[in-house]
Amino acid sequence: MLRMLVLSGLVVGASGAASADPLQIQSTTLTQSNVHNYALIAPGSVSTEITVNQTGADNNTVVDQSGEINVAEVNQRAKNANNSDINQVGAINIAAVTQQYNFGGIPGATPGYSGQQTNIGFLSEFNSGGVSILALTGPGNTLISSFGRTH
Amino acid sequence: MRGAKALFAAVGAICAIAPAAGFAADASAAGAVAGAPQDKNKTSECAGYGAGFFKLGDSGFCGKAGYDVMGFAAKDFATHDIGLVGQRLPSSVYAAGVPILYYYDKNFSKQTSDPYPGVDAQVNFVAMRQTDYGAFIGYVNLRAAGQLQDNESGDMRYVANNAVNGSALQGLVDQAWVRLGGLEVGIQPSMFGFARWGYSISPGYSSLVNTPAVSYTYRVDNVAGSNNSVSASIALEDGDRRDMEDGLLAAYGQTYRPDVVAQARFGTPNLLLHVGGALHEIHDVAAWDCCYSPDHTLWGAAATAGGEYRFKWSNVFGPAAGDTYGRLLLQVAAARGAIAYLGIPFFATDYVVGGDGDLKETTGYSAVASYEHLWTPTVKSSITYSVFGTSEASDMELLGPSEPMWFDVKVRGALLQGGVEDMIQPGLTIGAEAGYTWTTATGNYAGASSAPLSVSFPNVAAYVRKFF
Repeated sequence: MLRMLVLSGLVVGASGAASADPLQIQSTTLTQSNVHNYALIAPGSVSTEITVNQTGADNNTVVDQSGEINVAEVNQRAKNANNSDINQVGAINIAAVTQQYNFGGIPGATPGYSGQQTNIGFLSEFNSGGVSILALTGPGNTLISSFGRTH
Repeated sequence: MRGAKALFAAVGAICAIAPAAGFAADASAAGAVAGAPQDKNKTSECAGYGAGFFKLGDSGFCGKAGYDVMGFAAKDFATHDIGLVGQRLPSSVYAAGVPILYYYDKNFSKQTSDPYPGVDAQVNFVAMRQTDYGAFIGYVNLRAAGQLQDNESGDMRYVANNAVNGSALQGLVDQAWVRLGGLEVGIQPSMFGFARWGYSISPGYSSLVNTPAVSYTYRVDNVAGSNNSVSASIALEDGDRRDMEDGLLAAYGQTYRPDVVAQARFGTPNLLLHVGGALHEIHDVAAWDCCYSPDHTLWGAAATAGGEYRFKWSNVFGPAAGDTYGRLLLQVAAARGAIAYLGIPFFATDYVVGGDGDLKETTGYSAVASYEHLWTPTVKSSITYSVFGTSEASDMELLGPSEPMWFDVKVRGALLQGGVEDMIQPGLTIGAEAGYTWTTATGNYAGASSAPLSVSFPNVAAYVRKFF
C-alpha cells in the first residue's frame, strides 16, 4: 500500500514537471531472467523512469540517475540473494525496491549479445550460460569497443 | 592493434637474408649475402656473390634486383566467428568506470559470401661491398599485398594485407635496411620471430614482423672446426607495431623506450635451434583520457623457442624410404602483456586498465608444428597445425558500493593447414592450400561461468607465383 502511494505521487509529480518543463520523462522496463543477473542503469542527466525486473538465483542492480526527475523501481525475485544500489541526484528522486526470496523458478535467457540505441541511451545485454549483464548508459558515459578476427 | 590481415606472404623473400646462424644449406643464398665472395677465382668481382649480381659502376658495390609476384583466389567459408565487445561500465566508485569484455557469435556472411582474388607483389634490390669492418649491405623490399573482398555492406573493396598502423602506404616499404658487419639499421625482420611460421603459404600462429629497428648480431661459423654455427643478437625495435589495443580496455599513450628483443641460434647443416625474448613497454592512457585516473607504465614480456630439422628419408628409414627429403618445424611462444608476439588473431588486448588505473596484463601462448615433404625436386606438400590461447581479465572492481564485478575471458583456437605446390618451370610455381579453423571462447563474470561459444570453418586457396 505504501508503495502504491509513492508511485501515485510520482505520477502526479512527473506530470507536473512535464507540463512546466519541455523535458520529458523517458521510461523503460528492463527484464532479466538468467541465473546470475547484473543490471547497471546509468542514463546520465536525462529524466528517467526505469523499472528493472530480475528473476534468478542472484540478482544485482545498480542505479545511478542524475536527471531532473529520477524514478527507479526494482523488483527482484531470487533463490539466493538480491542486491540493489540506488543513487539518485535530482530535484525529484523516487525509488521503490521489492525483493522476494526463496523463489524457485529460473526460466533462463536467450544466449547472445546485443547493443542498441534506445530513446534513453545505449542498451547492451549479454546473456551466456548462467550470466546476464545488462547496461543502460547515457550519451556521456557510453564507452564501447569491438574487435576480433577479420574476414 | 595494427590489424592487418596477412593472408599470404612470400616466405622466401622475408627470411632469405638473415645474419643469424642458420642452415649451411641456406648459406648459398643468405651466406653469400652476409659474407665474402665465395669464388675469388672468378674474373668478375661480383660473380662470387651469386647468380644475378652485377657491378654498380665504380662504387665498389655489387647489386642484384629481384621480384616475387603471387596471384591467388581464395574462399573463406566462415559465416560466423567470435566477436568481442569491450565496455567501461559507469561506476559511482571509479571515475574511469569498470571494464568488461563480452564475447558473442558475430555474423560475417556478407564478407565471406563470395570467393575473392588477391595479389602479393614484391620487388627488391640488394647492394653490397666488402669493407675492413665486414660486408656492407643495403637492402630494400617493396611490397603490395591485398585482396578484393566484400565489406559488411556486401560491397567489394580492396583490403591491404600488409598495412602498418592502418596505412597501406607505410606497409609498402616492407624492408629497408643497411648492415655493416653485424650491425643492422632500418626496417628489418624482428629478431623475435623464427625463420618462418610453418611451411604453409598462409600464416600459422607465429609472429613474423618487419619493424624499424637497430640490431646487432655476433655470429661464429665453423664452431670448433665443425660445420656448426652460433649467433647471438640484440635489437631495439619499434614497439608501436606490437601494440594490441582497442582504445578502451587498453589504449597506448606515448612510449619512450623501444622493445628490447634478444635472440640466440645454433645451426648445423640439418638443425636450427632458436630462442628469443622481448620486453614491450606499456604506457596506458585509456583511464586517463576518459576520467583522469592515474596512468600507469609497466613492461610486457614474451619468449619463444623453436627448432627446424631437415633430413633425407632414406637416412632415417633406409633405402626403402626413397630419395625424398623432409623438414620439420616446431615453435612455441608465450607472452604476458605483449600478445602481438604470439602472431595470433586479435582476440585479446595486451592488458586491461581498471577504473583506478591499475593494469592487468593479458597472458597467452601460441605453438606451431609443421612438416614439409619434398616428393620430387619440384613437387612438395606441407601440413601445419597451430594452436593459441589467451586469458584476458580484470581485477575485482565495484559497480556500486556493494556490487563487485570482474571478468576473465579465455579464447583458444587451432588451425590445420595442408597444401601442395609444384614448380612447373624455374621460378614459376602453382599451388593450392586448404585450412580448417576452430575457436572457442569462455568467460567468467564475478565468479559465475558463462557458456562456451565455439566456431569452426574451412578455407581454401589456389595460387600461382613467379619469382626471380
